[in-house]
Amino acid sequence: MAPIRDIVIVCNNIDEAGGAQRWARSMGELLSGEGHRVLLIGVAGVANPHDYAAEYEDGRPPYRTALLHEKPVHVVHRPAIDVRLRHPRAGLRHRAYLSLQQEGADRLSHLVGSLDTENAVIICVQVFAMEWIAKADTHGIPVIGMSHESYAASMASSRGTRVKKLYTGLPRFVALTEQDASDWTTKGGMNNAASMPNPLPFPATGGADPDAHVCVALGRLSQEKGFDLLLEAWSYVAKARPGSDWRLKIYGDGPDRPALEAQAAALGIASSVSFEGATNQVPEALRSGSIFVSTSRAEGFPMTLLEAQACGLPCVAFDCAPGVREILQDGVLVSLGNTEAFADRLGALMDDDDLRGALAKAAPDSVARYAPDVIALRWERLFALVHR
Amino acid sequence: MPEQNNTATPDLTVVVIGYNDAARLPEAVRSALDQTLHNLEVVVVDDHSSDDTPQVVARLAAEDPRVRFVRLESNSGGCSKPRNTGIEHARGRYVMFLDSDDVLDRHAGLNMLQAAEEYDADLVSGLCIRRHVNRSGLVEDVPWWPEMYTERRVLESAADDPDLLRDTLSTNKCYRLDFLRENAIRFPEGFHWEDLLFSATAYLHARKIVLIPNPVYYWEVMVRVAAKSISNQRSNIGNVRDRIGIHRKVDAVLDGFPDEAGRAQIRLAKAVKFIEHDLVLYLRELPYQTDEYIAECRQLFRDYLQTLPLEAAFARCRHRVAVAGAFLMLRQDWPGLVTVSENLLDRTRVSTDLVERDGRIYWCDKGYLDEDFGRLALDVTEAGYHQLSLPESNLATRLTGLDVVSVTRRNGRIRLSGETVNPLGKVPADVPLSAQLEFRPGQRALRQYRVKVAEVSHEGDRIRWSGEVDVARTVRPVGVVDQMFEVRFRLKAGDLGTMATRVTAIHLPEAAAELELPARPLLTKAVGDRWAVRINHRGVVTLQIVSRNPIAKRVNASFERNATGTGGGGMLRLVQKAMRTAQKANDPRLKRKVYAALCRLPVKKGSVVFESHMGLSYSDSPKYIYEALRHHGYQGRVTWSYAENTNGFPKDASLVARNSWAYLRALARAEFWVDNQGFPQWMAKRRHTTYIQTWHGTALKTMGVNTPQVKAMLTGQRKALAKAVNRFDHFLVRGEYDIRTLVEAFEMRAEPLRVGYPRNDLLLSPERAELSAALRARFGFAEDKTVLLYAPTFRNTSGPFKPDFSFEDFAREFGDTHLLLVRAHYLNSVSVPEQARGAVQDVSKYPDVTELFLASDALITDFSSVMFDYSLLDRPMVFFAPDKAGYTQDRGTYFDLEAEAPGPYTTDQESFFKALAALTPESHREERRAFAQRFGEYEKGTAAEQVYQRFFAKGGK
Repeated sequence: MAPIRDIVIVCNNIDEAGGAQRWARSMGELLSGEGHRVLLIGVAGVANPHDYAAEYEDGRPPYRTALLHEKPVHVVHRPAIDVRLRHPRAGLRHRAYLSLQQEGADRLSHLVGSLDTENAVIICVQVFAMEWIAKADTHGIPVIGMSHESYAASMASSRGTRVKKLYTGLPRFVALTEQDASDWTTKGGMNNAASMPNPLPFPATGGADPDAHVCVALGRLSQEKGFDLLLEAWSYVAKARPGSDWRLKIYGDGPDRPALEAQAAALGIASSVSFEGATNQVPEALRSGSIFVSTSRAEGFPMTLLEAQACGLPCVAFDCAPGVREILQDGVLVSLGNTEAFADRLGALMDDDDLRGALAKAAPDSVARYAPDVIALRWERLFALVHR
Repeated sequence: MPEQNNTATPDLTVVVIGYNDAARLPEAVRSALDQTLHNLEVVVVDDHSSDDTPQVVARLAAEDPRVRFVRLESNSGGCSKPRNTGIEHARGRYVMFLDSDDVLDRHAGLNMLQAAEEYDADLVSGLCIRRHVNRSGLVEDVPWWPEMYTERRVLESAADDPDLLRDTLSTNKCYRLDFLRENAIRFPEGFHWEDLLFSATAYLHARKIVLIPNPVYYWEVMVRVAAKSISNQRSNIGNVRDRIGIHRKVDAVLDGFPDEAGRAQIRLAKAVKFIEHDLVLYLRELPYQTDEYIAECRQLFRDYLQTLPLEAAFARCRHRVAVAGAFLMLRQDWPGLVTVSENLLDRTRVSTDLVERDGRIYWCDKGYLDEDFGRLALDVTEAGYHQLSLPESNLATRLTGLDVVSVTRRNGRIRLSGETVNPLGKVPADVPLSAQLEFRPGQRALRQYRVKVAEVSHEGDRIRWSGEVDVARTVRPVGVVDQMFEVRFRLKAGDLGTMATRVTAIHLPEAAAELELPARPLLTKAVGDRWAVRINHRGVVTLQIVSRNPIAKRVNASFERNATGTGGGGMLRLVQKAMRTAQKANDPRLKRKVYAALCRLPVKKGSVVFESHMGLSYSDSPKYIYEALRHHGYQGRVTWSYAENTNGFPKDASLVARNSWAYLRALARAEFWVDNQGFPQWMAKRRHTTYIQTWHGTALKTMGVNTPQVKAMLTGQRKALAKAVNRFDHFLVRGEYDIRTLVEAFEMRAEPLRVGYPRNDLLLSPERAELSAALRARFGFAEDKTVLLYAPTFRNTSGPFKPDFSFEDFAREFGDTHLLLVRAHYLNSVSVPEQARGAVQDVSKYPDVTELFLASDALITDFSSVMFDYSLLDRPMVFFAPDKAGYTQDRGTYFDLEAEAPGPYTTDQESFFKALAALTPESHREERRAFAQRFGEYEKGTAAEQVYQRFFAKGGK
């Protein structure tokens, strides 16, 4: 029997309706369910917090929460030398930021000060929060660092260098997939990398109808999610099948919506494409389709692909990240950006009822390795390891 | 952090062994104690040191209860006994070994343990990093067998990867203690090379082996070993005996390996490794040893080689010269072995008269080639020495004579003579020969000196030469930093180019041994006053400074102490600091800042920077614009950028290396940029500079926004691309088709210049018939042969390219009537088999494709843009595209070539050869004229002139 632990999960913030927050909240539930005492800490508050408490029947989540700073924190980088010379006050603002950061770190020291160091674990969800943890006195409690994006995406931003700087000494640093962990080891020079996938948020029970003749896509309507490429591919599919009853449903909202609607009209596919807007009933939206399509340009560990398979949907996706390859072991992968090939592969799946049915049937089982209890067990083993 | 749980079993025991190394031992122990894995113990085994090791360890043990100390009763003189003692005292579930002068990576323990437990492995092996101090005094990490550790691998037994046995270290591994005990695996005592047997035994017994890509062990090879002359090296034959003895022991262990098929495979892999690695190591230095050593060493190796599965191993080895060495060892051919040894010291060196038979190349003949086994062993075709041009070759050049002509106080004149091998008639008898001797201080030549060699004569398979040099006057070292000058030989053979090689010798001529000549270093005689002739550790004849006066002796001794890292004095730190500063000065970020600053300086009126294919060559449209400028006597400053070397670049332009400081300065201040591909993307173009983008070909394949690569880009990357493209002010086009494809695909704002390509002017010139004839004469093409130019496009990977038809078949069918010129894409290379020579010529390296066009009668291509340019010539074209599906899989085309090709379109060798046989100058004439018009209506043969008139006629704007 695994020991009962104090688990502290630290995020940039815990109140937005973003991916990291969703992940932290679901981990809070999962680990509380295993009997652990979970404390969720946000570095800073946000202007418009999402009401997570309302998602629980009694209005109380099964874990505790705390903030290091009540208000949003605005980062002030150390200005370059010439800026400091010309504007001495720029340097002072940076100093003020540092002392604010130290206050937050002290609060963190206080929050973890009473925990039993033999059993407690701190999980740092985002590398930004690690700056606070590094400044705090954690009393020898082991810290596990996390990166919630692919190695390539980290390295394309400043997070890559910050991960290398702040996470290097930690006993373990976990990436989302085995491939990302390997990349961090062999290319990124991190020698403590391991992998830990995200858990499925709901049971893999299938339920989609392979004969509904609907392709479904879901995501924020922004450039990186590549809906423009989806419409392009769909136009090839539609052109090759005049009079087909297949439709494309796009769930989600975002800044690109007007442009995408205009593009659909320009391509002459407006009649077979519908923009359904954002939904908070993801499983239901997914089950209304027969094929899930994803044309993202960049992903970390795309939960929608996981969820779609859990709902029994065969998936066609651009091979844009190791996370996609790992999740979609039984799906259709297309080389990134090749819309013609995407249309070919998608069309083939639309035309072949037997293949689609077989893939749909196999989909829920193929994501069984992400079931919450499986993932929880992996975390238990990781906690034990960092206490060795 | 101290251990949390003293009573529990430690997860890991780190056995640290040391002998008289109290200074470094604490660092090793701390690297174990500071692991992110806390639950471990450190057993320090002292091989009865005479220094204060016991006290040092006692202090460490007092600080941390996880440290235990064991001292041997007497000194064992090796690593085996201390490590075995460590195994006996270990209490952990797993055990690792650490030497007192090395350190563990901070995460080694946890990484090993996690892998071991996840797979229940007996043995986990991680990456070992050798930490050197390089010639510049900087620390350099070199991974050990990195190809074995590129990813995590789980093996059921050694049979899963027989090559495993290559990594023979015992220290980068973690062993389950019970596994070692159950199988009684111990280090052999009383031998060198104990690691070899221990690791091999462990591999062969382990039921599960995990390899992890993580660095675990840092092998500190910090002390730079001063280069020693081979003849001076005191080699011990016992070392060879032990090495061979250990191999025999490993073979005995292997006999007990349960899996029979696996056993054979491992035996084979081990034999391959023995030939490619162990044999090479000893053979390389063998000729320089004493006669007794040589005799016994040859005997030991010969006896052992005979126990190996030689036939299979010879077939598998990729190191072909090592195989030749093994064979000659068996046949007791000492002169042959010496040639192998000369090659092993420098792998590019050809040290023998290669023999060609049935299209294969062999190391030597001597009757060995009559048997199958000899042909298998001596076949070095794969090494590719025969394919190299003369300048690419390294023909062994041996010193045969050294005579003193005259020595005075200030002069030291000697005569050097030698001979150079000439395998396969690489240097033909009828070319004019001239030669130079060059004196060069190592790789990083500060200065080098050359003198002409008076006599050079061609004697069939040898080139003999002889020349005088006044060493004292000619070779002027700085002193201290350049103590050693290698003697090199440069042979110029007419148009074939110049071959450069080091002059070698096994033994110096008698006159040289005691010879000393006056030396005159620039730092005066305080740093050295005499030259001596020596053979260095690579068998190269060198001049070395020796000090005879007391001041010079002290100066050099002090420098040597500091530079080798053992002294660690101020001089070393100063040199290292200077090296680091020099490295930092090349930092890209600094370059960007400096470039931005340079852009604030005023533009140099009339200055032009040219670049072609990112500096690869002097070619393409920029070349022809440049020539138009020269033709008109242009006065402005003209600069050409080069990437690798300045071969072929014009002498009257100023030449700058791409990305050098001079390059930044030239671009920052130029009034015109002219280029066919793109200056580095990060270099913003200032407003005052005019960028003329000539581009390098009309597009068949989709470009820019129509390609998956660009479609896949995120907003930031798209913006960067747009920014780079928006630097173009003018873009040369051949027709409206270019505007519909290229200009639109790159969303270009540049003004299209509707003038055609300057590189194509010659193709439309009224004198093109005369030009063609002149070029054919220059290239030496027979007049009665039909010259075909084969120019396939880039295949998705760079490197060697193999066409889908056989050059040999071509030579058989068309050899008498046709000549095939093969021009691979500049990122690819092609190799022409020996049998096809004569009928097929590789012209990939020839910089100017336009001249090849003119010299040819017809073109063969697949999807390359050369078809558009060639169509202007109004000569036939044949299309050979067997892999269309594969080629267009990742990228579409703007039109269907198969349907619209202006010539026969073939997809297999048979139809391709048929089309070639049926080819006449008239075939497809109408189609190809229409094709030329459709894609290049602006080509008038005056492109360079028009560009000149518009931008440069007034000497700048």
